[in-house]
Amino acid sequence: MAVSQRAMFKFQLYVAADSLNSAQATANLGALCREYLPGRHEIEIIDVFLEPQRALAENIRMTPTLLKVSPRPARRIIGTLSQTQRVLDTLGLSARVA
Amino acid sequence: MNRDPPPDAKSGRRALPDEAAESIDSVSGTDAVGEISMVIRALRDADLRLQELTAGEVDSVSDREGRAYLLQPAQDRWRESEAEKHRTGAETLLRFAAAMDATSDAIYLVDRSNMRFIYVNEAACRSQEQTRAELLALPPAQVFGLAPAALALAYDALIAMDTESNPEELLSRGRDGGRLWLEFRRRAQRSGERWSIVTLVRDITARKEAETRIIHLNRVHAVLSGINTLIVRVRTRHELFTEACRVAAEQGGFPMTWMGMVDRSTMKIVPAAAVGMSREFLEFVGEKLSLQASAPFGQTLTARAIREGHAVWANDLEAVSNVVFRAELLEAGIRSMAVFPLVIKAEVVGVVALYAQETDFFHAGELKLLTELTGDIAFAIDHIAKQERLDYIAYYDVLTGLANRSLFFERTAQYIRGAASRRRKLALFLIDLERFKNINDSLGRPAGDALLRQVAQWLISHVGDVNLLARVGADHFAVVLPDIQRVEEVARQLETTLQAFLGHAFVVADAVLRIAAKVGVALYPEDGTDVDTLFKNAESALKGAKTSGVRYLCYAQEMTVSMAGRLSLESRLRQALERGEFALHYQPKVNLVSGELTGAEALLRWNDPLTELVPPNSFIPILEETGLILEVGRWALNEAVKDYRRWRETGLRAVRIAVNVSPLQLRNRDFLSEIERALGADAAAAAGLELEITESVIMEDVRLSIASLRAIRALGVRIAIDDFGTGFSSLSYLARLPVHNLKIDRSFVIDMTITPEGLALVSTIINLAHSLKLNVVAEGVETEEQSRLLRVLNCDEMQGYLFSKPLPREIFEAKYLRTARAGE
Repeated sequence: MAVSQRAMFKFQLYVAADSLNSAQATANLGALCREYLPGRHEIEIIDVFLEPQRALAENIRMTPTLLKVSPRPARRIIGTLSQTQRVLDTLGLSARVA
Repeated sequence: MNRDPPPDAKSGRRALPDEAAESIDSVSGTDAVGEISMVIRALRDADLRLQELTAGEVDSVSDREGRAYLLQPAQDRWRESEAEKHRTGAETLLRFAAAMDATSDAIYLVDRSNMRFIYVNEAACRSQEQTRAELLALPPAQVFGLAPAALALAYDALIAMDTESNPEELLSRGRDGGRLWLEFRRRAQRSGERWSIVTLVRDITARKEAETRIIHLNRVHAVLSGINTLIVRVRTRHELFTEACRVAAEQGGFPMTWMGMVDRSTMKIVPAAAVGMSREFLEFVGEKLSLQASAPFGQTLTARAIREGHAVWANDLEAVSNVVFRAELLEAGIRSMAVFPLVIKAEVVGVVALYAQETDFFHAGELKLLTELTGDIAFAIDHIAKQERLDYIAYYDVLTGLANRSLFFERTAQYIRGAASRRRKLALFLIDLERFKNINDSLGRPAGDALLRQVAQWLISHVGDVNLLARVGADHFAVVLPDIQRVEEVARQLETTLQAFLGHAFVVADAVLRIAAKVGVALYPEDGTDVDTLFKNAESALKGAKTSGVRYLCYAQEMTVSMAGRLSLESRLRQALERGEFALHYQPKVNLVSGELTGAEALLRWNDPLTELVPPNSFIPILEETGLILEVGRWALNEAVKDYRRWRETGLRAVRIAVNVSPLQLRNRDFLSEIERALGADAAAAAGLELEITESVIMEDVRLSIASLRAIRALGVRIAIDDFGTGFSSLSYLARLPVHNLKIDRSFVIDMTITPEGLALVSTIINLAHSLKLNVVAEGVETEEQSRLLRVLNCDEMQGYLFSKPLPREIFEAKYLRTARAGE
């Protein structure tokens, strides 16, 4: 865990312009990172309307979709990310919450 | 949006997203993707179900080619938000009214079509001190203080521009009268077909003040450093003042500045330098500004700064009253001013006044720096003064303030060059005060010093130009007259000046002193062509004058005297009495109407065998000085009485003889008995004698004079006041004087025909004398015109060259006394 504590979490969040769910996902991800990964996260927001090819390359078929790029293993979560605990579990960050 | 996990009632499947995420994650691979694509395609037209499937948390789905499709609810919300974006202007603003009320900037929203307020926020209401309802009812133009047309025009320009206006800064007055800096931003916004203008007003006073302070402080710093460099450089006070004013103007941006010194003796201010000030202002400062609190202008900033010893300022000239020339200053654009005292050793010696075009210029920071600055200037003044004092001692006599010998030599050398180039003569006088050592010994050194200072002042007032004077020794003064046309003129002037000097009463240590002076004269080019030679020869002439008893001597004449055996005038005068060299001449007095001889004045003459007849002016003063006058006067008195008696006895027409009495005689205790002795037992002799006493002598000690004169009159001798008009008679005493005749001084007789005032004066004297029952004699009558006027004025008698000059006794007797008798 020592390694992962220092590791940077890189996320890609695929959104559909400024539609509501996407906006909520963006806000939730931001809040979550500030609280659980302060100083060690990078978030890239990708608008599927503006960059459809990137979404296609990553096989993103719905928005909002969160892609955890690193650390491995890669994970993806579809939705507004409002259920914090479940998102943390999926990202492998739950140990810190307890 | 913390929803509970959506129920799986309809689909029977576990709810997304988590499950979906996991499933996607777990099945990541082309098959899974293909599967989802299938699902998507299948549900393409049934997005409602997809939403159910995704618990409404998905916005968009993409097809195989990556084309994203927005799901219906997201589309609705999108449209809504787009509409929101375009719904700017009034409605949006109104929606944010609460937020706008929270800001401290004043916000005004105006409808262009009707030029009315649509909305004003809380800050706007506060700044206008109105309720919202009141403010909304006001025309915007009125609130912004603009003409309605101008405001409309400005709005239209803004609408045409379609961008936010550049922020404008505006200085205005706050409700409390203070200065208020406001920043205006305006923006036009369309709402439907209507345009509205948002005006945002921010109070930037604090920021502006800070900026201004920095600018002002920088200016003051510039002055400070400019003047500090100056102080190191300048050598004279004048230069310091002039340059300091210039620095204040050029580097400090003070358009007006002046500096002045305090004159403690008059409690006035003497302006020393100025920039931008009018001549009238400086004259006013010099003449009218008084430092006394009770004086008419004693409460001005300048007077207060000097009295209180600290800076006094006014940061808004429009709001103060105790500033002189306020209207002029305001007109010149001056808005604030400060006056700083120049303090040396806890004493205010001067003042610096600075005027700024800005209201509110002088704040704590500026005042502190400028006070520091004036401290530096005061230090420089003190330093220069000390330096000047050193220079001064090198060139001036500290006691009298006159030039000393070396400066006098420098100046005279310069005057000689000037005289040489103009081919003029130059005279150098060396003056010695007689008996000065006695005065120093008997009255003390301080009295001697005081006398020297008074003599210096007397010389300054008589010579007129202090640069021509010097004190060159303990009791020696020197005068140079750099432009002489005629030497005779110099001699005559010197004569009258010496007479005046002798007549002047110096009051030292409560003693009245009359000081005689001896003068040695050297002339350029005759007696020398350089200053050293001239001075040496003047010294030699002075020595000669001292030993010979004459009052002044020219270097060339000094030679004559030395050839005459260096016999002192005094001893020659003594011998003259023994040898019978004195004689009485008689000048007739006649009745102005009848022309009849009424009497004669006996005048003392000296038949000096060396120089023949010596003018009375050059030996009578010496008789006075030496006290010989007592003996000579006694001789004259006896001689006159003898002559009168002889005239009577020999059958000549015996007219009354007037004999002059000197001050020394009058004060002599034995004088009365001398007269008695002269008259002898002959009772009739008194009828032939008249004593002439000058007015100034009588007035010197009126009480004593009255007593003496009464005693004389009791003997039957008549008394005349001589030289009337030259003393300072008080009318009350004049009426009490036991005198018979009043003799009008020749100077009045001369003036009488020159000016109306002169005529009026003589007329007044005659009337006055007549009202006191005095007989009036006019002296020095030389013209028919004078004689005619005197007749018109009812003058009784006259005496003068018109009728006859003084004549030797024999001639007088032959001419007047015999013929008169023959005519009888």
